[in-house]
Amino acid sequence: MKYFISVLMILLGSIMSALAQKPFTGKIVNEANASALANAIINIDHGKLSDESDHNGQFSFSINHGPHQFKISLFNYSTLDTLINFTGQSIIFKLKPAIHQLDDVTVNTGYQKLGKEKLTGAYQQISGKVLNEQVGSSVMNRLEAIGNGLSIDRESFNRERINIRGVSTFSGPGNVLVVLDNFPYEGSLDNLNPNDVESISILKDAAATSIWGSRAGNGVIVIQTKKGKYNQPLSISANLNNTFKQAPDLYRLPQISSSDYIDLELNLFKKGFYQADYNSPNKPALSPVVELMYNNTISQAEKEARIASYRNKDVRDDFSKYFYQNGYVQQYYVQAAAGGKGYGWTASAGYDDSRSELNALSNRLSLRYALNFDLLKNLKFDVSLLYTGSNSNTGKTAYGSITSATGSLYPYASFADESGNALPVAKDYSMNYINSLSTSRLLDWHYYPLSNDEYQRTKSHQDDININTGLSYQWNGFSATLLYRLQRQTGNSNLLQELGSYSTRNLINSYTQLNNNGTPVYKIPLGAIDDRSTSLLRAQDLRAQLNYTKRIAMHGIDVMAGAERREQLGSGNNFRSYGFNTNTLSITPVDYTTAFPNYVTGSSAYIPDRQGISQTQNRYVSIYGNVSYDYQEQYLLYGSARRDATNFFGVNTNDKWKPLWSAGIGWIISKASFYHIQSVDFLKLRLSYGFSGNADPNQAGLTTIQYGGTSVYTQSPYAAIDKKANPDLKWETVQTTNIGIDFNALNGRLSGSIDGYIKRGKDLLGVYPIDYTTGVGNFITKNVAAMQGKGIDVQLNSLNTQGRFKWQSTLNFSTNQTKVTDYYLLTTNAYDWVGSSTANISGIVGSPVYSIYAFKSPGLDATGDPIAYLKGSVSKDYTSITQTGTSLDELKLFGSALPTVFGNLQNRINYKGFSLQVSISFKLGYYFRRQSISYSRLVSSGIGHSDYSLRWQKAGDELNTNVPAFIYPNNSARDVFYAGTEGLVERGDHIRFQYANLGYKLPDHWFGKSIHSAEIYLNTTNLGILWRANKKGIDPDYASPTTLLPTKTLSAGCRINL
Amino acid sequence: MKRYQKIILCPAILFLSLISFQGCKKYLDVKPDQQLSTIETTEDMQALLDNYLKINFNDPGVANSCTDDYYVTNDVFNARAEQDRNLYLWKPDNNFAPLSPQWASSYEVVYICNSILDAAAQKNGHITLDAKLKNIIAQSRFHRSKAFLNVISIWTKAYNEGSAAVDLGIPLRLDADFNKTFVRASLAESYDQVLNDLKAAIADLPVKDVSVIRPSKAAAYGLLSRTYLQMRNYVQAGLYADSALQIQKTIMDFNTLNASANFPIAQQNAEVLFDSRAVATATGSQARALVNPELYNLYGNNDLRKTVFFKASGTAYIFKGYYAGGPSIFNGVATDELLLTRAECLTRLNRISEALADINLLLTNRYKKNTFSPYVGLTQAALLALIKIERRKELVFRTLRWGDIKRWNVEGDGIVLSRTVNGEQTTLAPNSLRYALPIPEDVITLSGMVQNPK
Repeated sequence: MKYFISVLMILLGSIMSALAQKPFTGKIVNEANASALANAIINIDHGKLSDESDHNGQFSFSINHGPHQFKISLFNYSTLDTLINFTGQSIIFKLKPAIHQLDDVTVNTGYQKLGKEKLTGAYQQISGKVLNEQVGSSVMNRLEAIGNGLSIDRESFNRERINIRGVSTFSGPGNVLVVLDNFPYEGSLDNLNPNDVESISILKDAAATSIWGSRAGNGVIVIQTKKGKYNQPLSISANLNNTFKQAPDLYRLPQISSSDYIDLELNLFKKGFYQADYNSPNKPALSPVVELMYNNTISQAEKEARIASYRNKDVRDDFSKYFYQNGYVQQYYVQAAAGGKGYGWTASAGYDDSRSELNALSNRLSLRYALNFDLLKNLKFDVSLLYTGSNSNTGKTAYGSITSATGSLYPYASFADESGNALPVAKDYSMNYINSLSTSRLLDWHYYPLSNDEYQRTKSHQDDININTGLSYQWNGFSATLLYRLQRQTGNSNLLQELGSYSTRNLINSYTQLNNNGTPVYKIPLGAIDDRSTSLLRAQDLRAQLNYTKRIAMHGIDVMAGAERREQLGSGNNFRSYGFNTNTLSITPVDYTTAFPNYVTGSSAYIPDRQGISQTQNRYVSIYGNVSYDYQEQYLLYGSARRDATNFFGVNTNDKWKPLWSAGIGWIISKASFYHIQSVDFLKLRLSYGFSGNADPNQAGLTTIQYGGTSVYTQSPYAAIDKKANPDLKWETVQTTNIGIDFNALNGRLSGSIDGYIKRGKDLLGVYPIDYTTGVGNFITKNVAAMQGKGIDVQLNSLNTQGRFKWQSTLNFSTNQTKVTDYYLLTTNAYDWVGSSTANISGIVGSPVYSIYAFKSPGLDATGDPIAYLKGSVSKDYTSITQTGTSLDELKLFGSALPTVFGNLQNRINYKGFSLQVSISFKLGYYFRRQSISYSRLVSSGIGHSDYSLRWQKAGDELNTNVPAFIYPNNSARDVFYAGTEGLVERGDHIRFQYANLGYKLPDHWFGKSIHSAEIYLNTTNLGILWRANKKGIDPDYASPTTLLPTKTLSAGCRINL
Repeated sequence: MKRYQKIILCPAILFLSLISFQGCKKYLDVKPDQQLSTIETTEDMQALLDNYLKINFNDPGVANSCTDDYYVTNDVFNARAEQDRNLYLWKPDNNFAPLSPQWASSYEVVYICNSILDAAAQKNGHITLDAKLKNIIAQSRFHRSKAFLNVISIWTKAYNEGSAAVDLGIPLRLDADFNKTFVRASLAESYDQVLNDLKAAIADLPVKDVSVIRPSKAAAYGLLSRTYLQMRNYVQAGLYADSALQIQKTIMDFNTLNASANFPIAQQNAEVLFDSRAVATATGSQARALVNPELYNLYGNNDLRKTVFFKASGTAYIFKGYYAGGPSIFNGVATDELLLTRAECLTRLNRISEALADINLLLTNRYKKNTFSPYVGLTQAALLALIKIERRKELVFRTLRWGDIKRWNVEGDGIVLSRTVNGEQTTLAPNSLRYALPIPEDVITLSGMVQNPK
């Protein structure tokens, strides 16, 4: 409901014409009581002149006689925009106090639009304007800096998953439901151009989410795109920007030093560690140092010289020099909208073009058109068409992705010689062996990282079409709506591995056979290998809904009931061609049915066929409804119910129609007759309770089998058991109780909401240990687990200063504590409780869902072994200690591995034409485990860590270091123990700078009438951490030793409205 | 207003048709994934059985790793995980990592077979058993009994008729329902299960199938022979070996092989009646397992197996005579094994000339052309001794040696196994309790089964 704003203007004096500038004086008063108003901004002729009223409400200018545009704005008052013919007289402007239009805010639940004042559930509404203070191409990534109760998981194994109010499930699907223009959106939301977003609603409690039924257990994010409006002149706006992305700093990664690594290799060489590999008929790859040591044709002096030169190499130099570079993103967006009597439309086009730090190119074209018009008096029709086409190409290989047969790439690898020629690195086979092979029979078997990416690349293309149509008819408080949505997403990707690529040469060589006379027969033809895959996702939704809204005296009622069916079809296929000629597009058939001996090892294998076709089809049918009732627009009642059914295998029929319901009550206290608190002019209390569900299509009540490929022996299809019959499975339910208040105080200077909630996840899928003699593995999934989450969400909006210097702040502050209330622990091994470096489900009743436990250890003993305890006394039986020898209460519980306090603080400052928006986010009250050196991983797979240089080496070192001494043969249990010791646990608390956006609105008078407004802006993101609790300089969000920090970006752009 | 009524009616009718959900059940009965199916048809069942990577090629290679046919260097030993080191040294416990794939993969085969048998039993009620369904049942029983036999060979002591009824056998899971618990049956019951399954399967197995990857009558006879041999029932073992050889008796002439090839013996060659392969343990892989010089020295210079089976690796020798065309341990059924079994049984039954014919047939095909002079006129004891040596020489890395040692030690041969690692010698006394390897400790914990006595 919109209040009508009246404007009153009093013009004094007679009309005179004069060309000379004359002093103009004016006064601004409150229309209601004629009191003078200070700090009002007076803007004349679109920014040519501006002033601020003084404490007497007065101001003055020198202007010509004649007509002038006056715009007078003041917080809490309706803006006055008027044309005045100045004749030399002073003028009194009367401003009308603004009524706080809280009910002007509507929340879209995906099923209906509701005034926020009437709601009993917990919602957050984010405007497109705030969303577009950031410049990244993806909508979801922008939410972290502005969302309430929303966090992005960078701690557990579910990385980058959005959690609303923390986690709600253990092993069920954990993704939030994303709804785009009324319907669940499948596939990647990166297809949506953020500029097209009108608003985003985050639905948090049961009263909000329950209407979405069995997929809403993890919360719902509803995105509305821009719609055409009736009766508005043509407006065109554009948003253009360029983003610079800084090449990442590889040197912050804790890589083991080349010299340390080489010393280790020399040491292991002496101990004969490599002898078995060296003798092996499989000729596995050995590192250059090891090959050198086995080489008897090189003098000792030469060996030492070469080793000395290796010691000075750092593979990060070459990665930085040849692989990583600065990236960029260019974004162009233009939108037009217009409307007349009974119709409105909007159209937009966006184009994003980017180059990543690894030279991966991608672009995205988005086109949108939305039209709504009245077919007949009460019959509205709307349609929106959205097309997104995106292309991406792979770039260079990332750090950590180049591996050799023994595991990790050695740190002293070089990709190029002094003149920039590509150098080979050890890959599958020993370099010495490869060099001995006849090049007349075989292709070059070396792997050259520098040039390999030129010959091996993936091109992907995706088309996404979304068609939304709706028909609605209104009569007598009723409205009947029929909606249909079609989403069709097709993708294809093409991996071309040319003859120059290592993988193609390797495959061809491996299958090369020699005739009796020694001539080679290539079972895989000489040519490129071409893998193509296509995928199709088609979702169709049909919804019929009936609404009834009526107000009879004191009673307001709003009833909604509907039904929908939804089909989601997915299909894909992939296909490989050998001997692919990129010029003629010809392919050469190969023999898939004969096993050929491998050229090196002689063991027989079939040529991989890489072909397959798949199809999935999920169907849902739902009925739903809700009722809202209010008495005197003061007391609110709400109830909703929904039943869902799906075609998932083996869900018992009873469960197919599982009902989920919610109820809520609300009381707008400020409307009560006794309410007299002046400073708080709006106060509402909300209470809700209800259920939402979490259906897991991966669980089945019947034994199902999955067809794989064709058996090479019988030429018949083969299959494997996919799901093991488990008839008792149910959907997970999340029960939420929410209590909240909404308020508006100090004449609107402070507004916000405070919510407290308790979530109980029941019938959660959890693992249940089972003797693997059953043949189904060591556990099965059952509805055996339960958890509880509780927390507070606070959202505060404040206007700190007003007037010319306007400063607004928004604080989103949330707490979330989770607790396992029921779980069957799979293991009695201490190392499972302690877990790995990424947080796992602890499963320990009473502990946070993701917990950090650690082995107690005061450090190292005098021999460099970590001090450990078994049954209360010091022991070195690390196997027992890390397994069943340590009980749970002997471990140290630090706390949650996920932040228990999180949120963001946004500040928005306007001064004259300048605007600055800054967002910082915080994550507090949690712990993480930093990684250190594992000697068994170092020896077996070459995975090092810079902590190696800090290791205990001689008596006395134990006073300065906690890194154990290197021992060989390895004791892997000792490594496991060390990795889980308390010394490696750090506090995760940190405050992060999310983004800053500096804009300048160009004065209107710079342009003619053709440009309505123009703004230029600078934006920067990923500037890093402002404060962290750990002293190691580790960014807890990116703590893994091979994870690079997100690249710093700087953008410059402009927005123009015509 | 008439015009308007239509407009009102249109959405209302659609709306009503939706909420009435006529045909809703049908709408929801669509398969969610076209590659998914419940076990419905015989094609589904055959597809599960044709998944050779799970059914045929995932057998436990433990028995292979415990024998005296190979050793590893100290370096290789030291670099192995604790459980693999323990297994190599016949330690009394902690021989298997948690979730031991050796135990799990055997029982996974059992589970798949039971699931098929359960699904087939449901079909049974509705339609008369057609030949294909009968064949499916027979194949499932064959695979299940083979998995059971593998488990028996590793985790139970040698069969002794007198004590078998009380000796610890294996859990005989005959039902796919994982909520049911099975304790260890007696050793007698365990063997009976294997024998009964195989015997029941024979009738519905083809004499030969399209591939030796699928069980056939010959394969079932061969496996029965192997089972009876482990039970030291030499009459039955000989008879079933003979039955299998009646179907196929080809013995490859090693003169036709290219001894210099990396793997001279092809997979599914003329001797193979049933193809299955075991996964080597960490010490048993081709590169690490060096051939025991004592074994290597048993081969004469004219014995082609000396070059077909072995090749030098440094100063030692490694094995390359796998019946798999590659370095995977063949543990299927082949005619050479059955010929040796028949020869041993005939000898024990004192049918010397027949036994001699068998052993001479084998060796003629194993020696360089015209260098082998057939054995004649051996005493029963001498022939038995010869056959034992030839059995060891022929069935290298076939997982069978471990069972032979157990069996022969019960017969009183007193074979002492020994290994030297890092200068320290470990021995395994004849008939030691440790011949029944400890069941993975986590299985004991989770199931409450009885552990083998140490």
